[in-house]
Amino acid sequence: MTNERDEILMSQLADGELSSDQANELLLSVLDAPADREKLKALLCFRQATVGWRIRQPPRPVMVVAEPPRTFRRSRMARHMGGLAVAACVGGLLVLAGIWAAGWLGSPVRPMHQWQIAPGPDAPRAAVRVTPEQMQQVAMVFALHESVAGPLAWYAADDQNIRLASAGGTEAGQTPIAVLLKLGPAGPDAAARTLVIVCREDRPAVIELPAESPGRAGLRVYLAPRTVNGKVEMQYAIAVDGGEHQPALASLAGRRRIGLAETSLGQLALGEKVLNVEASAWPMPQERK
Amino acid sequence: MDDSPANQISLHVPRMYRVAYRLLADADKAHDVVQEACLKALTKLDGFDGRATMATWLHRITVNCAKDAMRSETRKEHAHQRFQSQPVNQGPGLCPAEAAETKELADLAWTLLDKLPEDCRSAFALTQLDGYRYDEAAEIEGEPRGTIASRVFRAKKILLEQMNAHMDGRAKP
Repeated sequence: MTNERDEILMSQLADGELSSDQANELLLSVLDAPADREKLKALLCFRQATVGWRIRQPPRPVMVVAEPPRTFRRSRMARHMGGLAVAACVGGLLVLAGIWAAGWLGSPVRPMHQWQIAPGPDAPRAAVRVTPEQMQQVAMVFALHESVAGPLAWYAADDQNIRLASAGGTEAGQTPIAVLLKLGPAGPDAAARTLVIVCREDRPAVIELPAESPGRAGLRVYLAPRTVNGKVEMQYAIAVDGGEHQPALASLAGRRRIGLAETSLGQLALGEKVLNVEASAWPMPQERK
Repeated sequence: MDDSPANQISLHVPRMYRVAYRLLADADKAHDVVQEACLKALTKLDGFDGRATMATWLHRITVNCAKDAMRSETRKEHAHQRFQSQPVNQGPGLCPAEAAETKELADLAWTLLDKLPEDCRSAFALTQLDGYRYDEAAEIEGEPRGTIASRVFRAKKILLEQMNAHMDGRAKP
């Protein structure tokens, strides 16, 4: 040894590009030549120096879904003209109508981003139920988004994000199921993060809500609901990220039968904090078309 | 795992991400580019004629998406600066001293990468940074495998020589 051809082979050996026979033959010849051993060692060190690049992973899971979800944030929504502006007007009218109707019924309706289905400090846990007004609000908002974006496979919103996925051929006919998912630290006064989700019966939804701010965790939710005797039997998996530079810190999965009363899905341990995860769910009446 | 198009594409996601990250030097933007590239691949799946492997087809889509993202912000000049300042994941089983040395070598390699001849740089980046096999890099570059092997070796040789020169210069008082 060594001519350039042999050095190219050593380079390929360091990259794992030689067959085992070729590699054995080359290694045997290198063993007898100290200078070649040093060259091979240098090439292997070089390979090691770039290993960090080859194991680099996306900061969040990339979702490859058959139907591309149409995703936008509120700030981007504001930039959309025409249809969305009209939809906003319609939405405003619907909300006003809702407020008027609620006022007429004697019960105020809270805006979407202020869902507060948690009880007061003294209220018994079992008493926490979704109100008809809240169900009506969810139905209106979902209908509004479908009127703008067409049939939806799922819809998810919290106070910072709105995410949608278009329905495929068979999904549009499935019963929409509303789920209120609440994640919050233990304690009656602790601020909870509430997600309003509408997905379809027997059609699993994979929803990703990124970390929007430093103190806010990214969230991935898998829901597969079906209706059983007026309640919703839901298979679920929920993962909370620690942030951009941290791997997933906590996850839980299971199956529960859920109704209008808030039901615990379990707890997520995030470092020293424990997050309670609770849900309410109900099948939504389908509009006749 | 089933062999649906979505699953087939998802197998290539880590490598697509590395390609996008190398071009954009921003984790979030690279993630967005890969997400977009996956959606484009799914919608254009009918146009995939099978003459290229899926790896090279997805590579082209990813590079095009990344270039589109770069056009809006000319960030190429900043890319290497950012690479320098970001922590690089180190290989497993390294002690802190080895890890520091490895990181220093990796940083230095990035600085010297720009000085490589274009053909060597491209072959080097595809095989050493993006994680493509030589066969795949050959298909992407439209060159024989032997040419890629030769270019990769030349790139390594130049980089090693320059790195040795750098280390020797540093060792002298």
